[in-house]
Amino acid sequence: MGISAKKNAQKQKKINPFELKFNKSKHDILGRKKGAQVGAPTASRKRAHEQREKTLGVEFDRKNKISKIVDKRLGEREDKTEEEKGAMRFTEERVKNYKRASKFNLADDQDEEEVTLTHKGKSLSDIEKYDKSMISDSDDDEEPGNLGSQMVRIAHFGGGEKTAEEMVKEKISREDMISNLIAKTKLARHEKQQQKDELELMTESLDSKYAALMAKMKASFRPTGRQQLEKDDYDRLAITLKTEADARATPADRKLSEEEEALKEKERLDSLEAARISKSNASLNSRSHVSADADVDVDAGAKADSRKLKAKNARFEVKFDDDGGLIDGDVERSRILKTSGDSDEEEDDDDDVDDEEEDLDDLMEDEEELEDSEDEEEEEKVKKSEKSLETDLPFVFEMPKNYKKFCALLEKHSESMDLVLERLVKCHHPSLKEGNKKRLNKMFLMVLRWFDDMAKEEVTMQSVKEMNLAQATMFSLMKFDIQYGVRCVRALIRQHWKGRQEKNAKSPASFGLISAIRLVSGLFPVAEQWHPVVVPAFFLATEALCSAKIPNLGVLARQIQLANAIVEYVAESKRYVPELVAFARSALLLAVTDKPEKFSTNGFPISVPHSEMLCVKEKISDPVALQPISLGSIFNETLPDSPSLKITVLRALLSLIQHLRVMYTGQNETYNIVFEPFLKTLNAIQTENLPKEVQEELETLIASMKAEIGAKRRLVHLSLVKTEKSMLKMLEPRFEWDFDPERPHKGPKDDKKKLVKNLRNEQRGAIKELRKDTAFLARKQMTSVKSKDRARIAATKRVMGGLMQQQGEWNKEKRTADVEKKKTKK
Amino acid sequence: MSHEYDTVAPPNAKRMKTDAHLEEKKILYVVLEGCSLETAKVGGEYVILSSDKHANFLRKSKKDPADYRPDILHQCLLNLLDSPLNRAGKLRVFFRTSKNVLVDVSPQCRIPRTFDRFCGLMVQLLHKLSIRAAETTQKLMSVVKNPVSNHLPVGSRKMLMSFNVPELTMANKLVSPDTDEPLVLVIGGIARGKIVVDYTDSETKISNYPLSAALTCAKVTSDQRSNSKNLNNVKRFPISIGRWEQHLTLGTDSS
Repeated sequence: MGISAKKNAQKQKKINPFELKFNKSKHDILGRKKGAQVGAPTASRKRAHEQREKTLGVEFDRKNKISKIVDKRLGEREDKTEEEKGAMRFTEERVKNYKRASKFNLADDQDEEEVTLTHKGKSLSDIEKYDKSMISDSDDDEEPGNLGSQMVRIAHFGGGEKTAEEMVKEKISREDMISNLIAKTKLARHEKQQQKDELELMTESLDSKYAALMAKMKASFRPTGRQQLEKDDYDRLAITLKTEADARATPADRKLSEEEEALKEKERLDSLEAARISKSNASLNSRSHVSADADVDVDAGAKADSRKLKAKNARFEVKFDDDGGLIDGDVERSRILKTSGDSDEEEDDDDDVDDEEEDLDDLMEDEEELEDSEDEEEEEKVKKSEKSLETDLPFVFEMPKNYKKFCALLEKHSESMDLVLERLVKCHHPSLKEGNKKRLNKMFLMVLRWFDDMAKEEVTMQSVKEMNLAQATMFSLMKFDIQYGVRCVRALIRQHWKGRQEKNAKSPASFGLISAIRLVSGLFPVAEQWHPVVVPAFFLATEALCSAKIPNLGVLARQIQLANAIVEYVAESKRYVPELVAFARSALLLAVTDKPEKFSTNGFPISVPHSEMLCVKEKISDPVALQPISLGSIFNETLPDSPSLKITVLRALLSLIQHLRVMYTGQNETYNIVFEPFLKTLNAIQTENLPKEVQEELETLIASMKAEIGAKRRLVHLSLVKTEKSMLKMLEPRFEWDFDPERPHKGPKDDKKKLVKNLRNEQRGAIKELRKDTAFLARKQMTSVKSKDRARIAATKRVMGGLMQQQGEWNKEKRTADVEKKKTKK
Repeated sequence: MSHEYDTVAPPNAKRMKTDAHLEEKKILYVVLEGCSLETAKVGGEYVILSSDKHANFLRKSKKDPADYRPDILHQCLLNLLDSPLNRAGKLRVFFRTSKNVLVDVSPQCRIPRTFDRFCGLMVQLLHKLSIRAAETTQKLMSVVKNPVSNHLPVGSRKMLMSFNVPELTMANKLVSPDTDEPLVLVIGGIARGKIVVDYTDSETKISNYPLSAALTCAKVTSDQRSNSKNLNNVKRFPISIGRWEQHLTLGTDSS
């Protein structure tokens, strides 16, 4: 390396400095290795020329010269002695010969592997082993062309060593021998046939034996193959469907009309009653054997009856509680039309509905007077029979003559009031007997009074249940005479109204009032625009809601109950009830210390301890507080304002507000105006001391209300677009963490670019080289042409010179000859 | 590029030529001359040469370490581009290195706060010849063609900040509120010595004491009564023209 470097230095020293080319570096970066600073273009050009001379030049010289002499003599070109040349020739010859001979030498070839022929992966020799046996397997004797090997041997290759037998029969002629042979073969064939038959026979017998054995053994074997599965219900059903697809449905009993049904029911009850009486008589009197069937039948009938009723009642309840409004309303309306179509005496008798001015009590008294005149003998009779049958429930009832008796009857059967009432109604269906309608009307009045009395009494679970029952009964009675029902209920409402008007206009809603209002909503369609019962009841309720004074929590709870009842009225029509909203708003203000607005109704307390009656000041962890308060506890005693009660009432209030929110969602125009104050107040409620559940409820209420208000907000004031110039936006420069200054534009694109650039450079280089080659060849050709020209010109010159000389000499000679001639002439 | 400026448009942004465009004439141009910004391959990686980090390397390659002060440039740029004047879109900055590389700095460029990062970015700039924004493709710094006078507005007053000038000019005297012509200030980003350029009209100073380059930049852009109120009201555009002067002391960078 060192030496070569020195050599290079020496070489470079020789170059004329004027032939050097110096590269100017534009962007000098300290510490970076620089490329070649100095170049010698002439030297490199010379080098390239020499290289071409060696390669391309040689090729050019050989151009158009198609053959050449190749010297293949051994050792001629090297300096070898004759002996050595001879030895070389000898070895060459030997090698050549050896190669030629060994080409066909199969045996000596040790290196080559032995070739084994195969068929289907097996060597043929292996396969051949079994060939014989295969042939022997097939019964060749059957075929006519195949002769026995023995026979072939004898017939074709006769001679050779003879057996003793053959020696004896030597003299036998050839024909005999052949006939003998044929006979022998036939015999052999026959034997073989026989053997085969025997084998067949034996196989058959064995088969039959095996079959017999199998028949015996079959039971003990496990079944094999597909078994037919047992048919299950589905299969049977599928089969019946398949087979009876064409069968016609048998007609059921036709639908009975109302009267017929009532008659049927009555008959059934009568028969059951008769059976019951006879049974009890039998048990009382004779103690005789009662057939089990009869007993069962009766009991079963009774049970079925009660079950049916229960189911009916249950359905009834559901209808009332959830969405009875519309459905019932439709039913009611149709009924009203129907009844109005009938021309009834009583209807004519009654005053015009609008004009009537009587109270419920008056109505009651009228009825009592009427009834008193009726005979009492029957009553006695009934009493007697009832006495005897006190233990179980009769199926048939007489209509009680007055309210007292009605109450007595119900009290007697307090366990199964529903059945009693149901049967009473059924036994007195208007179609059964003349005057039944009147009786039913009376019953309606009695039930209503019963309802009202219960509402006035202390509230218990029992009474609420009974009131439900009463309501259900009234509903079923209403369909017989709706006008009368309207009259009665109006009377009840009027009574309540008068009660409020007279003395305690500012008293809170009593249970009686709330239950009456609920009764109305249960019995009549509340969704209608105008209704003789519903509208007064509604006014009564709203009046009671907004006029009442609220001194304590208990009263507030009652008012909330009332508000809930009113919500039921408007749930369908979604009518806006200002009293309701004002009440809810004011009640909610009780839960806030810093009131964002004033109370919107009069009844609420303004002074501090009362005006914050719903504020929960201390934390309680009482699970009781989370349970809804019972009806009884609200209406019966005056409750102390305990924190748990506060929470309960607050929850009730929140749920009321939630109801309102959901109900008025459709009111797009006024929603925000109505509910924004609510939202303000709700946000002001302090939630630290509330239980978690109430907090969550509150939060969801606030969130839903806020979302609703946000969605309904439609008024957006027009304003100018803000064009304020504030600041220039500053941008972070892109900092490349893996920046490589030697490849500043690195990237996936860059790789391709680099390749393209390389390609272009190489292409250019190649083109340049080719151009230089062409130039070189042209130059070379030119030199050869020039040298040829030069040679030709020289030759021409030479020839011309010679000729000229000759000419000159000849001229000279001629001249001298002429001169001499002249001389001689002279 | 149609980039919408929600706030203030930078002075070099392309926009429609309206009457409002006239206002844009009142722009301060700052040219930092003679900044030392040079890359070198030290120990296998490329760095910006600085006096304290690469003293040995510089001595080996027979350079004076005192000439390599990229921190001056860093501080100047920080002061200029963070100034209220710039945030109001009234400033344009160029700098020219001792190796004659002229760089146009976009007013929207946020200069890296740390010196090391700044150096990294400058290496990137000197090799790629432009720096783009992180999110967009907007160019924040780009190497442009010399001479700098090609990039300066025609008919502008061009002043060189120097200490060796007899007269002291107060800022409000320099720019008359009536004229709309832009002003070009040439500030030397060097540690010592004097800047000689051929494109300036006059020389001036803004203080009787020698000031550092960074302080000059700060004074020029963000002094006194100017600022938000007046900056938005283009009619009055008081600029305190800082007088430029450098300490001769080495190593202690005055800012």
